[in-house]
Amino acid sequence: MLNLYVAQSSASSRKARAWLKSHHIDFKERNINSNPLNADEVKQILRLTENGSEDIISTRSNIYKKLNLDLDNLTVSQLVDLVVKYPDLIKRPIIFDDHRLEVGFNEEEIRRFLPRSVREAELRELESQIS
Amino acid sequence: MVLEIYLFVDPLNRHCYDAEKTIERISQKLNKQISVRFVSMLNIKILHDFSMNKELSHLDHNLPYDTILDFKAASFQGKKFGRHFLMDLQKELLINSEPYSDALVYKLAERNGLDVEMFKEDRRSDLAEKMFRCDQRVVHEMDVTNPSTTVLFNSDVEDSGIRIKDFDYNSLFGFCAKSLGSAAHFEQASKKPSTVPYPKPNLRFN
Repeated sequence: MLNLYVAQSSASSRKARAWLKSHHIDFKERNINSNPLNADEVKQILRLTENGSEDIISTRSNIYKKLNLDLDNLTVSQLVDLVVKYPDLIKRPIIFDDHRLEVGFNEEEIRRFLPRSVREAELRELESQIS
Repeated sequence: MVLEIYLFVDPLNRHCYDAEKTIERISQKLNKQISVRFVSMLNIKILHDFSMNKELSHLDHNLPYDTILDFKAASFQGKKFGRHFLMDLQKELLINSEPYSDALVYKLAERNGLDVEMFKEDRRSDLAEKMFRCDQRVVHEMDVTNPSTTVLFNSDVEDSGIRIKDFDYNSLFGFCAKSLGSAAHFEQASKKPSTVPYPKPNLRFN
């Protein structure tokens, strides 16, 4: 199942929702301000990011500035605790399933979530087919 | 466009370690538009192979599962950290023949930039087990039976991904580079060859 984490008044969250609906993809939506994440849920997101916390923390958010944070001086577990406490620290929308995660709405990249089959091939066969 | 590369890994398989290095090299070279994920897998055949491996199996019967949980826990700090930790662990266990121990695992966690305290909490947690089961689901969904299989998806190509069991650096690099340059290239490759009904209008001989 696809998960969509949104922020209330975010235009890109609305775009992501609209895109999923228009492509008939089922998803579970969650507003993490009214329904905050626990530490395990934050770790489940982090495990699908390339660089960990720096990929999901919004350094431009008001709360980040207000708390006067510095990503370089915080451990991952401190960041997890902070995100649990202050959901607005993370960027939205976040879209993810068992395989992949996308932060923010990008019309090209969200196409990764279209359902696909998998076909077996051999590289040699692919090369000869294409050359 | 994003090219997704999934690699299915058995941490105690030397062939997987080599495949991981190949994929890492390709993704570093092609950089931005590539998303790499190593998916852990375990099945009867892997456990059987392990029991036959006299160098590893006399030490610890849980090694196949424990190394997967360590890898999963490291990934909770980001995929990149998970991959680097895993490959370092494999280097020590499979190449340098270091015995598996908590001390070794923590040393490698620190060496690869992990938050070691968090890693200690996570490595035998319910969440690590749950995420391993999640990986097993991916194995099943993509119909993968052998470790070191790779599956590729191109975000611009809608119908199908490609599963490749055997690859080497040069041919896979060439394929990925071309696929990034043109979605049509990937699409053509992901379509079943020679099932096009006869007569095929633009039949090519090669």
